[in-house]
Amino acid sequence: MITLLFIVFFIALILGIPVAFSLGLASLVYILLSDIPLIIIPQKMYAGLDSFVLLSIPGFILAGNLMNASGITEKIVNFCNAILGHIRGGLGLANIGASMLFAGISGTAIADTASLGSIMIPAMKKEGYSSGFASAVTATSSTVGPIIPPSLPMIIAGTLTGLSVGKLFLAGAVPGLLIGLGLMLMAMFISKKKNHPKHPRASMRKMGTSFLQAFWAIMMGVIILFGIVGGFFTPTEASIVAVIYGLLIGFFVYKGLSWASLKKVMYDSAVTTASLMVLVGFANLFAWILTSEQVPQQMADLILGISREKWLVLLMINVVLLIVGSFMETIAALLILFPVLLRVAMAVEVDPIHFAVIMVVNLVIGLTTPPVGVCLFVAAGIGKISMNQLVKSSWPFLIVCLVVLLLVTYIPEITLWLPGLFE
Amino acid sequence: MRYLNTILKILLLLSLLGLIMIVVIQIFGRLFLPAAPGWTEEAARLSFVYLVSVGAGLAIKEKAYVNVELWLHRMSSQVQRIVQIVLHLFVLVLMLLMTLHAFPFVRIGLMQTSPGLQMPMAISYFSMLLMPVLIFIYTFVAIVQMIKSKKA
Repeated sequence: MITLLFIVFFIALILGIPVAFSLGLASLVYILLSDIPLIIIPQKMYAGLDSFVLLSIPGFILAGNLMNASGITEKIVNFCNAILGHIRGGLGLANIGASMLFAGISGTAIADTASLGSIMIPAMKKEGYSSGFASAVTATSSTVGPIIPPSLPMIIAGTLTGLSVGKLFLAGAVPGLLIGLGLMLMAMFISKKKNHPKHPRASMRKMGTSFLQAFWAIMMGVIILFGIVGGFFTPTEASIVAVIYGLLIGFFVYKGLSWASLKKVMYDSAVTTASLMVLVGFANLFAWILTSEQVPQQMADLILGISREKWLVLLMINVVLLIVGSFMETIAALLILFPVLLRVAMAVEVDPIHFAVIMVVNLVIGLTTPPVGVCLFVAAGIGKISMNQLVKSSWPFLIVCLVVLLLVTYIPEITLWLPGLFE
Repeated sequence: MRYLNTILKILLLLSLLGLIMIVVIQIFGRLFLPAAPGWTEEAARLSFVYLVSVGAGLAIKEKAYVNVELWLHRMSSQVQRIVQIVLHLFVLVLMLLMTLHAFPFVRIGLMQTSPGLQMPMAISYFSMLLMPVLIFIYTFVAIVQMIKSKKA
């Protein structure tokens, strides 16, 4: 029976039915054949949505979109250019730096690829960088978006397990910075070999003014993080504070917002939220079936039956997650697998916060690997190159991400040090 | 259809605005009054579930649902169109069954009262009826458009 659940799900997914409805159809078939009353569908979907932490998601999406609409992207790019542009391959480095700063505003990777890519890829091509390099840097660096706080996947992980969202946010900060810095080193190495252009060093004055321009955007991430970690706000309250902050900055500081654009940004954010939450609802139903069939227990027994060595269990989980991540959408994979795998990880005494970060980093790497790397699709579209070309230029950066993943997996201090400071 | 779009758009923006205002009240209440009013969390959840159910249909129209594109985009536009119509039909069936079984769910809610606002839970539960109905309508419209326009 449970096999049928997975078969229907994967067939629906491969045919091209949206992930949310694939989960729904698979659950429907299972429920019909098991003689469970169908009222379980609205019950479990409602239960999945009725959580106070999830309420922070529309706020974070809206805050990110507001900042984007107020013209923040260019200001962040200018600032990064001013401090990194004089190094060889400067524009590539600025691209990565901008992704890291942008990550403090948005909680998703695709938004990051789309908005930075539309500015950086054409600019890099104009200076003589290859389309492949420009698109690869954009796509791979945007994966730090969901790792550096605020982060939608971390909110979901917190909702699923009752872990503190504030701690999860903090735990992602250092791994996110490591990925960013690692990508920068790789970009510098490639740029040296290919003799990419560099800019003259920016004057202190220019650095100062560009910093002031970008300051207000960077502050948003700071307010969110310290608001939650300092105990001033719940994540939901912090998300709404970020919205109010974004409105004030957009209307009065950057002045890029208008009433017309505000309406559009609000509509888009609400629709994005709705589509994501329908997914959450169906995933909750699907996960309920898995639990009632004791799949988490069986999965745990299976993995722990192979080995009880901590390092080997973590390695197996990493391999499974990398494969799943390259096929499945991050949030959906998290909803279904996080509770299952957390059980396995805790059996070999992995800290749950540490494990949440391992899982998110794994799944996010999948955003830049074929066959279903959404960030690759978006970047290839903007850079006007084929997926094959882009994958060829991306692999050195992917290796960097995998190295950081290994470090994050086997050195728990990388994730747990920062949240530990706030105990 | 245009009326429905407009009405839903307004409802969607109102539920988002409502959510924002309620949380603002909650923050102000906690910072400047002795305690936040007790009803805010429940009211915020209510506007959230309606934000989701009202937006769920519009999300079909805006093609906001994420799917996996493995092979379909490589097919000819005629094949794409026919496959898309069939896939949409599956969603239609799912939504139809969900709609039918949301009625008893709402009925249960008539007998329960919410702890904070003292309202029947049916008001919240109704969102689970509205959601499949709206997704059904927009999926149906998408199918009709694909048949008429001869495009995917």
